[in-house]
Amino acid sequence: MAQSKQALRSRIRSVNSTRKITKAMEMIANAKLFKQRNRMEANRLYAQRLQDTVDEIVARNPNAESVFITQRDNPHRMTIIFCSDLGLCGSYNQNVLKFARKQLNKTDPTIVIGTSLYRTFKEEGFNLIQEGPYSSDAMNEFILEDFVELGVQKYLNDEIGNVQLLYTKFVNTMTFEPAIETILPAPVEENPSDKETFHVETLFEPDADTILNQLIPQMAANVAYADWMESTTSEQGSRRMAMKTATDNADELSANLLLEFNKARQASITQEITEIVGGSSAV
Amino acid sequence: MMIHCRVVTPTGIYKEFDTPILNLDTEDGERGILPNHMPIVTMLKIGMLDSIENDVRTYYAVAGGLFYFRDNQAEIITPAIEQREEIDAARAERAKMRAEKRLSSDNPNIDQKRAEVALKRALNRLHVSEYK
Repeated sequence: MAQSKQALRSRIRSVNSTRKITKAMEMIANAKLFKQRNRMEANRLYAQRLQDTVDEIVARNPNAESVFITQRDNPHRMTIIFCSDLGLCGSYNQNVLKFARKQLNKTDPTIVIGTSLYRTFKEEGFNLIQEGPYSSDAMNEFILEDFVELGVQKYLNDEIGNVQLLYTKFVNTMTFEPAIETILPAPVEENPSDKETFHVETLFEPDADTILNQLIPQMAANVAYADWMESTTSEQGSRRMAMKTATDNADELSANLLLEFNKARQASITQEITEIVGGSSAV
Repeated sequence: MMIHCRVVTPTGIYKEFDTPILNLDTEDGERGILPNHMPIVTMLKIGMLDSIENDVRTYYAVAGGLFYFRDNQAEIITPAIEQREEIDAARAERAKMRAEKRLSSDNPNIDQKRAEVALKRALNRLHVSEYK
């Protein structure tokens, strides 16, 4: 049974206005994605150079014994989780949540950045060591540095043997995967590629361990910053895709409803003509 | 002879320049690097950096970081750097007052260490901007 013209007309109107909203959100997410991605790319060289230097110092000083590069037996791990503040970004947050359930131990200290999953994590019994939710949009490298600093302190007190980040990897504009990155003890590449330059003697002032002890917390903070940016980039990418799908669906729905509406209109005209013709022949 | 110096920050490459000398504030004192210095890796303090670019003495305020030198290629990997002319003295002054206020308050929620670092950075910027 065809719906009434009136009902169809109001549904078309409603679908179109929703479509306008999702379209706008798609465009906003696209702009933000672009901006965030540029920031992410800009940071890459800095992060790479820090990591290279740490690798080199360790490779050249095999007897360096900085606490930040030695593996510990302590099985406790502290995790900083990145999720979004707002919803409507597809399965972005759900993927983070699923991954956290699978990979993390609920009793280990955890910090959640992003307000959307704070309550869920709390209800599921994760050991959150923060007082309230932290907004992901209000994050910056200095606040992140404080969280990393907290991890460094716990690490030095031997409360934990590992500091890690749970973030969403930006594989490409269509694919995002949750991943874990360890920041302490610092991951060190055992066999750096440019071996030939290693014959040159290098001065480490004051000495390798002192440099590593200062450099690694700095590097860890930067990795946290980089991963946060990568997560927000993924978030915007995810939102863009979700909104694009929504807009496409709205287009399809609106086209179908319009067809339905025209059929109903045509049917009512045909009926009226039949009635007039029938009426006049009766007279 | 020149040193080719590259400054890398979290927001990308800040600058590349050639200089016959680099004066640094390192953790164990001031240090001048001349061409053909042996390879060196050292940590920078929050302090001043100066160079001679195109025969002009140029001063920078550096917020700590790492200095890396090899084959006359120098690299300064730092979270923040400004040339003397770029420093916003009024802003640094405000940052200094804010940090001082924080340090003098006895609110336990305030991170003393962070306030101290902020104060050091602000003082350094002011020092460099007034340096003659």
